[in-house]
Amino acid sequence: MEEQETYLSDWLDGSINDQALKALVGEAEFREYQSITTELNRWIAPEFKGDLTFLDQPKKKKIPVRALWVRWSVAASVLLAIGLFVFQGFSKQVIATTGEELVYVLPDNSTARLSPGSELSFSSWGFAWKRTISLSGQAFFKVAKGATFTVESDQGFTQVLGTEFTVHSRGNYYQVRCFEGSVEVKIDQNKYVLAPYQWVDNLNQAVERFEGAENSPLSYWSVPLSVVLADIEAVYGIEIDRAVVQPSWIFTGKLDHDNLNQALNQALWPFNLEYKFVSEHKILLQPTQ
Amino acid sequence: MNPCDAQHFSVFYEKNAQSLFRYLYYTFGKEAEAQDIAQNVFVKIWEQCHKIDGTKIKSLIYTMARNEALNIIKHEKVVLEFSATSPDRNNQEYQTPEFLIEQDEFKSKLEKALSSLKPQERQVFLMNRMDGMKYQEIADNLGLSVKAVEKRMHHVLVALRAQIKGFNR
Repeated sequence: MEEQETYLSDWLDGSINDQALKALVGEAEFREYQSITTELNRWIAPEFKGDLTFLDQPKKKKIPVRALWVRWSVAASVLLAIGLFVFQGFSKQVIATTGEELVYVLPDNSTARLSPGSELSFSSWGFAWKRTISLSGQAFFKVAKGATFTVESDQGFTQVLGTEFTVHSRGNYYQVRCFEGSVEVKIDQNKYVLAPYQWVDNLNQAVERFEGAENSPLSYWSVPLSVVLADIEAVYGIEIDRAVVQPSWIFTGKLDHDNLNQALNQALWPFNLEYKFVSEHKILLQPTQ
Repeated sequence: MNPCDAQHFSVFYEKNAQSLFRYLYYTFGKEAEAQDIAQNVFVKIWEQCHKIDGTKIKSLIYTMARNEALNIIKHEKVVLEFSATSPDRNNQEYQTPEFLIEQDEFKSKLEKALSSLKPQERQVFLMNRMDGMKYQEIADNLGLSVKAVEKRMHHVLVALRAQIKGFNR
């Protein structure tokens, strides 16, 4: 019941006076509250030291996308489409189960770091020519130099030369972030060419810059919260009831991958949400009171 | 306001930069990082002003600052430190060594108690107590209801009293 009462906040903003509070809590308790507020009145918080000199500097320009890459990539796509029909080899499957992170070295020495609850497959013979991978979940790729390398998902596909990039494909969501080199992404009928530190997803369908985010699992740049929660489910093997989550809630940041409570706090706190365990593996989200 | 107009922007900056920095400090307790993040938020707003809805800009800067801070600042124990004005020099009673020592002890107990609060409670409490922000304004900036702010204010004072009693035992 005490949580419902707010007489102290009423006293703090002057809605009720000292006498009224004394009557409620007694003289001794009143003095203890008063000693706290009196002490705080004496304190001085640090000052902000920023300035407005940046107003005089020219604004940063967006990095233009080079048309040449697009044309080259179109040619590569055509070749690849032919290649797809030619090489339908035996499929090899790599699965990172719930709670497991896995680094897989592909036959051409490219590496794929799979986040927990992700899955990739590729054709085991003919990979040297074809270099095509199917992915669901999230993976960070470091691609050896060579022919075009393609990552397919249900929502889009991504083509690169030697480069580093992250593909995030969870449910209907699809996002690609480029860390090095250049990456071509195809979503629906549209093609996007990413330069380093650019990203695109199938919600906004526009190439934008990101900053400083790491290429590690559970690190996000502008990803819908519902997708982040789906990742948490996969990583920790739990189920999250997220009826309160709005589609417009977008998360940027990095989550712990070995501490569920910490990860939930990091993901939910910006949205003023709390979680509670309704059973051992089931979590309910609700607005913070 | 029009965030692309330098005049409007400067006024907005003067009115809100200090509060935003303080909000970060109260929440995360890292002064240097809070300085950088608060400044960067305004630089970003200025650079991308054409994309920004001037009517929602106040709550936007708080959201941006919070996301940026969660990205940069590691989850560690929060350490808050405040300077304090010296006691009234003209009043002899407030100049005795006993009084000064006691006051110092109480200050560090209260700092410690504040540090142990949940960040979302501490930030609300200190925005009101230190910066004199009204409950309604805090609620608007942080996207909370006034009722939620009131509950947090109440609960913080209850918690602080209990903590300090605990230290005394």
